[in-house]
Amino acid sequence: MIELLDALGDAHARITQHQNAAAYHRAALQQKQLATWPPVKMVASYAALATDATNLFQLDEALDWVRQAQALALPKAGLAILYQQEARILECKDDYISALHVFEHSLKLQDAVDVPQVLQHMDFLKQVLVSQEMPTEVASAIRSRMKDMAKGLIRNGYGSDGQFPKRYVPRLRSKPWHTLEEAPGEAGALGTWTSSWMEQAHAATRDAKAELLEEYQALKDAGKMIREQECIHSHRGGQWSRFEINALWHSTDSGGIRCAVESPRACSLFRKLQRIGMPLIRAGYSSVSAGTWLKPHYGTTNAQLKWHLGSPGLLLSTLSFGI
Amino acid sequence: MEFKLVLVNFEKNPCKQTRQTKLHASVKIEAYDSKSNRHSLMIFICWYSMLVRFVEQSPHFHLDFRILRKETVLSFGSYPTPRLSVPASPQKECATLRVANVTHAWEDGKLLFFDDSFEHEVFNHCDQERVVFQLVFAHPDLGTGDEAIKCATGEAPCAPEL
Repeated sequence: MIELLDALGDAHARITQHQNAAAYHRAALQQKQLATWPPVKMVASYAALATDATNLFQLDEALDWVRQAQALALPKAGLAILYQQEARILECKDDYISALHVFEHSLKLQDAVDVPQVLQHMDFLKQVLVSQEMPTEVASAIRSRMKDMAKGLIRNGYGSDGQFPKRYVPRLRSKPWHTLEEAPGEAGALGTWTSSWMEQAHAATRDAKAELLEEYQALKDAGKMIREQECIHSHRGGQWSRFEINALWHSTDSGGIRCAVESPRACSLFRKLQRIGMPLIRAGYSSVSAGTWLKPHYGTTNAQLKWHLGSPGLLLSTLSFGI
Repeated sequence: MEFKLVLVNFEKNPCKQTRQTKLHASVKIEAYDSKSNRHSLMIFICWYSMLVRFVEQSPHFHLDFRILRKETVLSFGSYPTPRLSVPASPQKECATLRVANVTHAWEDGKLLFFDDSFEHEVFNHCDQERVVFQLVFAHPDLGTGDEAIKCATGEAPCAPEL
């Protein structure tokens, strides 16, 4: 029974039904308490509830759950994981200094630090650097630490300073911005934009703009845009919402690939681009409201590139750009 | 002489002279003389609310200016030029994406094409939301088949020859 409740909670979390996930996780925790499970076996429930609360932006509650978990008698390695979870919640609260402090404390509880943790550490240092006034010497010291970490990452296989995705695939040509017209000999230029799909895909995407705009408006009006749960954006500013057409939680149409029934026009474009030969992974609408700041961060991998198409036409003045 | 104020980047800059700073930005002023020769001067500012104060200046200027909603006002504190009002449209370039050291604002009909494995950030200083349709695809060096997509998503190892 307890396992079933946990599994239901996890399943709802995967499809972003965080209220339901929290209800099941809470029920599982209550059952564990009634059954007098040893505290160490309840850690997963506390951590799951902290995650649910974070995803619901109930950040004080999330902190409460994770701190309850930390109060259990745990080995150092387990405690380190919970402190890292706390650090991420603090980051969501825009409390970067506390996040850094807690994260660095967690690292002291570990025997070794892995690459994702170095990336996370750099990220926290950067958040502190860009969001706080501080004496020059402190800022220099932080930059110096970040530089050392970057050198370490490059020694471990990363290609260049300033490009630190979570998953790095070596030997891919890269530069921050590409154009369709870039010269093949240019450093980092792909030189393959003359490949059969590129120009056709570009034209098809641009041709679809008006339809995509209409569809976005319909999705927005129907309340289908989902608030982004990553804490990349500063919570003191505006909101970041997305509608991923290939997401797991949508009812899907019958067109082969997973695509949401609510976005037939985007799905139609997606399939058209696939037929052209574009190696598409996913697509979706993304909206940032007035005052939004998406903080400096790195994408998931250098093995994926992105096109962003702003919507034109009728509401041009209100539709410009997002991420 | 005509002046054009172009917001080119937001970044951490040494804004030591004020504790009110909330955001930091670098701004390029482009000056056009009568022969339409363009001269650029990159300056650094600290930005708080709608007031922009020039705090890190070249040895030859003392600048103090404000960005207003519909016009940009440049006033030269210690220079004979009393005041310049420069029509500007901050709403046009008020939503920006910085990837590495280059920032772009959305332009109508333009597809932005970038690699987000480099450091990037977004600002929306506009009055209204900004929306994009995003397409994510496998790096062209990986090819176009299923193997390329599986490598790009981490579902399968990438080809060893890469």
